[in-house]
Amino acid sequence: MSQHPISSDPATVKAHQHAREQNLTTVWERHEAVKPICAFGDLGLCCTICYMGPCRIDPFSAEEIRGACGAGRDTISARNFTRAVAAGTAAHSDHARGICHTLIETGQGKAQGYRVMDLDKLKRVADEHGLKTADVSFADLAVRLGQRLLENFGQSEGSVSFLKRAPKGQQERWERAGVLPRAIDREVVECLHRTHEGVDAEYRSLILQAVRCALADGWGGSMIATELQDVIFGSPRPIRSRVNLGILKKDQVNVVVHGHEPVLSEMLGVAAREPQMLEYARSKGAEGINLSGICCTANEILMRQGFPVAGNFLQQELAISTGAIEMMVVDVQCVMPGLQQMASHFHTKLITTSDKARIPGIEHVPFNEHEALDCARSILKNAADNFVRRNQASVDIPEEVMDLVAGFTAENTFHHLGGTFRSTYRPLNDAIMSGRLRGVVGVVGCNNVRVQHDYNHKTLVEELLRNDVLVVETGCAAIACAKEGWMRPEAAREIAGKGLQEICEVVGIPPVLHMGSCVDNSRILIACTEMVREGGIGEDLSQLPVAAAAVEAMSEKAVAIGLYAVASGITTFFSPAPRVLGSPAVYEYLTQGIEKDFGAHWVFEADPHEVARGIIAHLDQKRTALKLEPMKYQQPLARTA
Amino acid sequence: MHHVIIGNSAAGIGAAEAIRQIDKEAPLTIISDESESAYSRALISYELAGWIGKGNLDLRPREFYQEKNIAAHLGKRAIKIDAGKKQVHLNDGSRVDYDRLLIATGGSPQQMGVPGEDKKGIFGFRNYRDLLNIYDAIITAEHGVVLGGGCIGLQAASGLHHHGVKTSIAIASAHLLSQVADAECGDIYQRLFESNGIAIKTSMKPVEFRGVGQVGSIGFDDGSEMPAQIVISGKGVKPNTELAEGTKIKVDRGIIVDDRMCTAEPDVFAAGDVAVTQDCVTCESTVNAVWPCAYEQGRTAGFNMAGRDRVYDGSMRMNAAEFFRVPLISIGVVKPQGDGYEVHSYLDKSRMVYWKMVFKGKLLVGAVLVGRVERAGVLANLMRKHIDVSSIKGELLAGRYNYALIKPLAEGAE
Amino acid sequence: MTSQPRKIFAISELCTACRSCEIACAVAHSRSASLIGAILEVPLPRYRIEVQAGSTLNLPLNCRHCDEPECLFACKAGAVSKDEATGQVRVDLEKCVGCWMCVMICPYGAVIPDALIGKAAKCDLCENRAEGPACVTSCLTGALFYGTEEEFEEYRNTRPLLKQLKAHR
Ligand SMILES: Cc1cc2nc3c(=O)[nH]c(=O)nc-3n(C[C@H](O)[C@H](O)[C@H](O)COP(=O)(O)OP(=O)(O)OC[C@H]3O[C@@H](n4cnc5c(N)ncnc54)[C@H](O)[C@@H]3O)c2cc1C
Ligand code: SF4
Repeated sequence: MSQHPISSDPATVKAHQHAREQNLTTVWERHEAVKPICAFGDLGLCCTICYMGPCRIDPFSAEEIRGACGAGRDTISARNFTRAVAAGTAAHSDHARGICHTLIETGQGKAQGYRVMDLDKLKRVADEHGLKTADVSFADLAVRLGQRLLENFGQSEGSVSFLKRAPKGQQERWERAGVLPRAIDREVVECLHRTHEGVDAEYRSLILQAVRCALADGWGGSMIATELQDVIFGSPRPIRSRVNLGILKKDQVNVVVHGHEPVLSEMLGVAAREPQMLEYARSKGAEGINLSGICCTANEILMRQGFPVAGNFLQQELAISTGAIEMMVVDVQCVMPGLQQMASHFHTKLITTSDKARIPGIEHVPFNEHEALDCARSILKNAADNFVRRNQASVDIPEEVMDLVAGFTAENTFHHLGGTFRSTYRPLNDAIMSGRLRGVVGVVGCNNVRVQHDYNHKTLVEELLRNDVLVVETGCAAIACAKEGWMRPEAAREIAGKGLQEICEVVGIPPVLHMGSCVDNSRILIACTEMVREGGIGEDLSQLPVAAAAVEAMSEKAVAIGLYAVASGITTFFSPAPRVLGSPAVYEYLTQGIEKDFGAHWVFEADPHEVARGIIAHLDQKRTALKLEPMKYQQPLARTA
Repeated sequence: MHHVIIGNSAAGIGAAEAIRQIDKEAPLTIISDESESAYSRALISYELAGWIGKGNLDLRPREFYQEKNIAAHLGKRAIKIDAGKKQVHLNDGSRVDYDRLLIATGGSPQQMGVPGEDKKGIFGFRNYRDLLNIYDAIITAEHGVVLGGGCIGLQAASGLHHHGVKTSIAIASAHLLSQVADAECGDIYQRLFESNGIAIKTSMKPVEFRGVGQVGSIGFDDGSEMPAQIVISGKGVKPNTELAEGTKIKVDRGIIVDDRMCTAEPDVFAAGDVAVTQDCVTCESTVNAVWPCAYEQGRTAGFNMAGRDRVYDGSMRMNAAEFFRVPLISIGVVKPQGDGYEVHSYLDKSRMVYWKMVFKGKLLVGAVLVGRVERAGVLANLMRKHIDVSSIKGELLAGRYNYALIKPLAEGAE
Repeated sequence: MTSQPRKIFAISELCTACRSCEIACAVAHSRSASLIGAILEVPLPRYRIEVQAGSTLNLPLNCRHCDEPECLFACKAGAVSKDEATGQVRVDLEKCVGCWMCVMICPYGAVIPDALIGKAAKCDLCENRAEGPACVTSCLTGALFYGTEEEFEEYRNTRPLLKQLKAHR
């Protein structure tokens, strides 16, 4: 294996070493075993759409090679790209559909243990949708709003409802390009139809459909999920917690939730704090129940309830290999089937709970919202029962653990600063205009075994912070930086440039803000929209000194997110690149041509230092165009390659 | 055992390398009337056309003779073989004893038999000396004519054109490349040359070179005249068989050899453009005056001279070239005469792609490839080994030939 | 030649025609030495191993570095040489004039006329690559092997499944 460690996180390196010493196989070993990465696939030049093929386009052929049907490299890679966007959108949106149903059932009183926690938001969103809110019970309103939002998935007329939240300019762009998403499911279906053998062969037309689909994710599925989760489980507010494998407790029943949906995990959170559960755990010889999470389920229970985070995507197997986990409860997305092999070496019970996602060799405990709390209790009991089977002698928990503050949202971040109880973006916009802040950058996305774990996230964010860029994060990127300690308010003093430091101190925020899970990227869209509305730094998202980055991207969801960010006017730095590099035309469109249509573009750059430089240049260019004041404190790049 | 080789080119070097592969010690002498260290005469046209740098013709590094422990008598001409005394007489009066002798004297341009042939400005195109002389003449020539439309003629024409001479090609046959290919192929190159500014006149023979001392124009059999201050003859080559005189060596066009490249005179071998061998495709005795055959014949002779028995499996008519970036490969019987042949061809004029395959019974006996020449050697292999291709004919005609396809057949044939 | 030369050997039965070897070869012979860089190069780098579809089996084929290298005999530019110590057959690109004599004569069709640079491209055993030939290290199924003939025989005999595969074809 390569000389550099597999991760830039010491806890991960240690846990991996420990796993290797026990001859356990992880994602890193499996990845080595499947190398080399197939270049045709990597470049997007392998077409498996029809059964005449697979057809591969030789990237080194001087002649023009086409697939059996006559599709050339542009068509093939545009189709592959479009399918990835469709899959990513489907994942976020299907999650959102589930939340709609939960809201309805909560309103109907059928969902055991759930309540509508953020009545304020319920009303606001209902208002926004023109629902009558006066003289209606909250329960009814919840049902009606859930039903109204469900229409977004299959309506035959109109367009996705939250699109109206976007700044006017961007809405006009979408209309001009003909990409206003009609219904979420429809856009996914149309992507699949168009990319079926022998339908759409024009790369630009395919990509515009992909854009329409991605917008149905960002301003549709993802936003619905975020908003309704806030409604049901309560909007997050700043909350302290801890992160990294070191949060696992040697003397407690460790239960880890992993996946993406908060519906069950919220209930596990409730149950874990019930005295009788604690009693039960004690009866099994444990000091208590330690509930924590991995990936976005972790982010959900962290944001709202302050439960600790055990790690991000690439740490999922290593968490089990500590030998300290009684139960890992998984739902959907980013759950490696390899967990089963890992768990089989330990006492750890792994259970799948979503009917959409099963893993061979794993017990399936169907989660039923009607008996959610009972279900949660029985899972915890089961876990406690398993505690006695733990082999304490072989438990090896890396001691690394870090404090953090999470729970920032578009609404609450600048809440205290407005001087009133109303949140205002004035302080943020002022800070940007006065040159204290260079801009705001969303660093989001996954881990990817093709790059050193967490390295790109950290390297990029460090340089951004030193250059007075406020960083907002979600997903596994957020967990990476949390582990580094940059989500502690003190971090501003330790690492941020002078201007950013001043702002953080005044507002009382860390220099990196945890905004939640990956569906919560919609929070970033809203925050940007608010910045436009506040005024002074651009009429449109595309004029704002903002950018997005996913520098360890792994999933199709990341591609969908990247595309809706770009289509919303936010230039996005993305790596490893989606599978379009084999088509010069598609590459050119995504990295340049698309700017004309939506005011932003993609940048595919693998070196995080280069990404940092690129982002800073991009922000400066936006600042110059807006004639903002020069940066107050010059801060050279921390490291130059 | 003293090995002596007359000729310092493809066949001679092939023999020397073979001998040295087996025997690093035995005395080995190479005699050549050219004074240059071994160079490739086939590249003089490349140099003239500016495709390679000047003086880049070395066939082997200059240290070759020293490294291989070879005594080189360069610039000396062999004038007689005394087979009885086993001696070669050189033009400087010296004599070289041999135990085994190889005649690898190649060929010389054929006389055209046209009045005025000895005028200044008229050149053969065979060796480095010719090239230097042409360089001299180019300086003052406005018009140049190349007589002959074979590979060498076309390359010579490209060369004159490259030097700014207004160049024409005049040929007796109806189309270019008449020795190696057919009219379709010839047409492709004719259009290519014409579009690059080289005029081509077909079906005309020169009858007179005009001018006082220096050639100024050429008269043709159709009564026409072409201005020409420089003329290059791309006519055929005749084997340099003079040394056979006064020996038992049999000559019929070239020197007759057995399948070990040995002449009728014991311990005297012959190889290359000077030798008559059996064509392994047509089974006829002929001089296949091409580089690969010359080298392999030399190599075969060399092995046998050094005591390792080696049978020559026959020569083959073949050629490869590229003009204005359009490659051409021609192998075997490409203009079949008589019955029993089956010919398939394909022409795509716009992309300048042409191929033709000639079958006789179950065998592939000839192929012309223009524009796309990948894996041509696979076809040559089929021809050389007389492999029954009936089971893969469809693939051959579809251009899907490769080694994987013929491997089972080739292994069966061995 | 004192020791047996090391060559690249192929086991047809194990080749799945994924063409990873071709790609790895092209990248190894590119200037940028990276896939993304290589596909954008002008001229495009040329791979020197070809996965050929036979009538029943796929054959990843490159220069066999023959004991009697016909390309060497045929090269009228003197650009081909055989390294007596390693057995490697080399093309000196400085000397190659792109006359395609080698393409015409190679019985394996393993010399590739690289039209983009007008020179012959063929396997150089990745002699300057520390990890050895790129095609071999890229092959997922172990269909390619770099070593002496003896080592190859031993390797072949230890390949699982080979017997079954043979029987199946
Ligand atoms: C311009 C040109 C282009 C060609 N292009 C190609 C091509 O593309 N492909 C191809 O296959 N072939 C080509 N040929 C033909 C090829 O060069 C010959 O087939 C090849 O050179 C034959 O080699 P050889 O050793 O038999 O004879 P030669 O090359 O003719 O060498 C004969 C040697 O013997 C020496 N010699 C002759 N008589 C005496 C004597 N009495 N005493 C001492 N030394 C003597 C000569 O000086 C010379 O060194 C080309 C030839 C020319 C001229
Ligand atoms: S990499 Fe291996 S399996 Fe793939 S084509 Fe090449 S030899 Fe065959």
